[in-house]
Amino acid sequence: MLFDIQEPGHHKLSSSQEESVAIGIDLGTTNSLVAYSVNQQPKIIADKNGNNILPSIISYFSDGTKVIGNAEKDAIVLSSIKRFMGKGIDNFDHSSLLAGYVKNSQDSLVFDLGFKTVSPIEASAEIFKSLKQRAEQQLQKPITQAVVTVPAYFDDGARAATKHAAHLAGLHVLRLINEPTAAALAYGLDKQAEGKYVIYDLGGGTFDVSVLNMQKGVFQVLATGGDVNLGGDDIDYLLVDLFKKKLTKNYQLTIQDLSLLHGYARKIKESFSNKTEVEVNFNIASEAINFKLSYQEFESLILPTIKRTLTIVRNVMHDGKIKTNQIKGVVLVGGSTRVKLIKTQLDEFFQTNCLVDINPDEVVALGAAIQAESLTKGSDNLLIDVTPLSLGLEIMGGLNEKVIDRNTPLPISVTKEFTTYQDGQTAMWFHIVQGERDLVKDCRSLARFELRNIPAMKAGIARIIVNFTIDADGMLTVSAEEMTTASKQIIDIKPSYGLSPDQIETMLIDAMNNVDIDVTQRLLIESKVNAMGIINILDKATKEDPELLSNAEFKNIENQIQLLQQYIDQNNRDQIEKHLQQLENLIKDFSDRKMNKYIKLALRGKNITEIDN
Amino acid sequence: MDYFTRLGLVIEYDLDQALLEKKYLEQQKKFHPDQYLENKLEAIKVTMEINAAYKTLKSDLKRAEYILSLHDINLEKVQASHEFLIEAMEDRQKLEAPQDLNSLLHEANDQIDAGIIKFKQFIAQRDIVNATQEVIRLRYKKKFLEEIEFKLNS
Repeated sequence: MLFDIQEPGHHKLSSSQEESVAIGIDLGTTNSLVAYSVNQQPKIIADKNGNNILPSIISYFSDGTKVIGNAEKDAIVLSSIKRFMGKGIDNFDHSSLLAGYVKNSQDSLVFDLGFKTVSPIEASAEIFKSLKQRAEQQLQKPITQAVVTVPAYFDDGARAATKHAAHLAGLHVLRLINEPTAAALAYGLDKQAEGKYVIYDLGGGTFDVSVLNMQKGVFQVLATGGDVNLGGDDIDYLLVDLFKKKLTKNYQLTIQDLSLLHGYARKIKESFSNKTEVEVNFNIASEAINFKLSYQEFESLILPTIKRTLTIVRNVMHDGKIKTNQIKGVVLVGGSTRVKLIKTQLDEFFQTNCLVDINPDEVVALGAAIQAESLTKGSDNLLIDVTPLSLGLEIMGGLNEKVIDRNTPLPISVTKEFTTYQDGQTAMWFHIVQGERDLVKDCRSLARFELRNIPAMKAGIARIIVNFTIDADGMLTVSAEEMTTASKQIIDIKPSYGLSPDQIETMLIDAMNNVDIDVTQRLLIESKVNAMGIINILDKATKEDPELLSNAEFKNIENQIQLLQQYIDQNNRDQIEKHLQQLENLIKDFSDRKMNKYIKLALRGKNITEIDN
Repeated sequence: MDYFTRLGLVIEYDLDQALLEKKYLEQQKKFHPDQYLENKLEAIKVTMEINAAYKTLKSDLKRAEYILSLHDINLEKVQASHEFLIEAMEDRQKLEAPQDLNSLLHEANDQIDAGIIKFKQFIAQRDIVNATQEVIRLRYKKKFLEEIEFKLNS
C-alpha cells in the first residue's frame, strides 16, 4: 500500500531539520491530550480557554458540521471510539454505547449516523486534527509529526488503525509507543527513578500493566499485559445497570437516554473520591429516579472489576519472573486510578506506596512528547519495549506454533523453517495468529496468505523459510520464501476486518478534498504517492530481472531509493521531486535492457504477459 | 555471528543472568537505531540480532537448544527416546486425573531443575546424544508446566 510506510528503518526523520517540531499525543478512550517537549521538559498544550484535556467526543450535526470535544444538543454524539479501533463487524463490544450505530459496510465496521456513515478511523482522525490545530495555534508552527501512544495490549489491527487515523489528520507518526512505557518515561526522567517499577494504567476503556527496569537513561520493559476491554467505563456500566434496575418497567432506552445515564454514573464515580454517600435525582423515560449509594456499596460493586486487574498484574509479574519485593514503586496512570479502592488494593499487594506525583491524566502525553523530542533531536534516553502478545502460525491440527513469544524486546526478526507434507505440493497456506493459547481457534486471526510456485518435489524436501519481523511500532511484517527457487512473498499484516486498501485510499482522497489540508499539503501527498509508486514498481522489477543489473548499478539504485525514501519520510517535496528525477535517470539503462529482453522473448514466440507474471 | 559473541559473552551454557543483563544493555546502548540518524538499516539489523540473542540466552531451555544448534543438532529431526515417550504418556494421565495440581506443578518444576543439571553434565562430558534427549524432555516438561498453570488459573 502506498500510504503505509511500515518497513522497519524507513520511518525515522533526520534531526537535521532544525525547524521540525514533533508533538506527543495521547489518544484516549475518554480524553485526549497533546504535549510538547523542549530540553526534556514536557508541557501539556492547552486550548484557548486553558483546558488541558480534550474529551474524546465528536458531535455530528445533520448539516455536516461537527464539534470536537463536546456532546452537543441535537447532534449525534460519538464517544469511546477507541474501543472500536481495529475491530471488525464480528468482534466489536456489544455493550458499548455506540453499538446501536454500528453497521456493516463492505465487511468493515462503520457508525451509521442516519445522514452519513463514519468509520472509527475517520472519527479518531477528527480528534487528531483538533489536537494538531491546538498545537499549531499554540506553537505558531505547522506540525506534521507526532509520537502517538496506544495501549500496550493493542493488537496489530488496532495499531494500524491508529496510525491511519493520524495519517488522515496529516500527521506522520514517528513512533507508536505503549501508554505505560510513555508514563514511565515521563515519570523516570522527572523523578530520577532507578530500579524496577510497575506501571498500572487504567484508562477509560483499556487496562495495561507493565514492569520496567529504569536505569541510567535506559527504560527497559521487562513484561507487559493487559485487557483492551477493561477500563473505567466498565465501572460506569455497572452503575448504569443499577439505574436500570430502579426503573419500574423494562423500557427500550434510546442512545440519548443511555448517554444521560452514563453521565450520571461518571459523576457518581468521581464524587466517591471525597464523599461517603452520594444521592442523585433525575428523570428518565418519564420516570423520576432517586438514587442513593454508600461508599461501601460502591466498593463491593466494583471490587470484582479491580480484582480482574490484579489477576493480570499477578500474571505479568509471574511472566517476567519478578517478585513483589523487587518492586521499588507503583506508578498510577489514567483518570480511573482516582478510584480509592485501586490504591488500597495495590498498596496491599505490593506492600509499597503508589506514586501519583504526576497527574495521572497527563503523564502519558508528557512521555509521548519526550519521546517525540528524542526521536527528532536525539537524546541519551533509550526506550526498549516488548511485544505484548505472542505471534505464531497455524500448523497441522489447528495448532498455534509460536514464532515470536510475548515480552520479546523490539525490534525483532525471527525465522522459522517449514516444509511440504505432500509429494508434489506446489502451494502452501500460511495463517498468522496472535495470542497465547495452543489452539488457533482461541487466538486472534491476523492474516492468511498463500505461497505459490513451490517446485514439485517429494514431501519434506522443499525448504520454506518464514520470517516474522516486528518493528519498533510493534507492527508485524511476514515473509515466506521457498529456498530452492526463491519464490518470495511478503505480506504486511493489515487488519482483515478493519479497512481495505481501497477504502483507505478513498478516505485519503476525502481528506485531501477537505479544506483543512491546504494546497501545499496536497502537492506533497501527490509527490509522495508518485515516488512510492515508482519505488514499488522498481523493487518488483529488479527482483524479477536481477541479471540485468551489475552489482554497482544495483547498489546505486538502492542508495538512491534509500535517499528518496528518507525525503518521503521527511515530507520534503522539493527533495522528493529532485531525487525522483535522479532515480529515473539512473534506471533508464535498466528499463531499456528490460524492454529488450521482453522483445527478444516475444520474438521467440512467448507471451509477454506470461513472462511478466 | 553467534548469539554469545553478539552480546560479548563466552560460548558456554553456564550464564550469570546479571552479566547477561549488563552486556545486553551495553550492546543496546551502542547499536539501538533510535540513536542513529544515519546507517539506520544496519543499526536495526544489529539490534534485531541483539534482541534475538538476549531473548534466546535468557531462557535456560532456549539457551540449551541454542547450544545444541551450535553442535549442528536439528531438534525437529531427532527421534525422542522410548523412555521419554512412556514418561510423557504417564504425565498426560496425571494431568487428566489430577489429585492435586499444585503438587504436580512442584513436581514438574523439580524435574525441570534436575533436567537442566543433567544437561550441563552431558554437555561438559561432550555427550551430545544424551544432551539432545535431555533438551527434548525439558522442552516437553516446560509445555507440561504451562498446561498445569493454565489449568490452575482457569
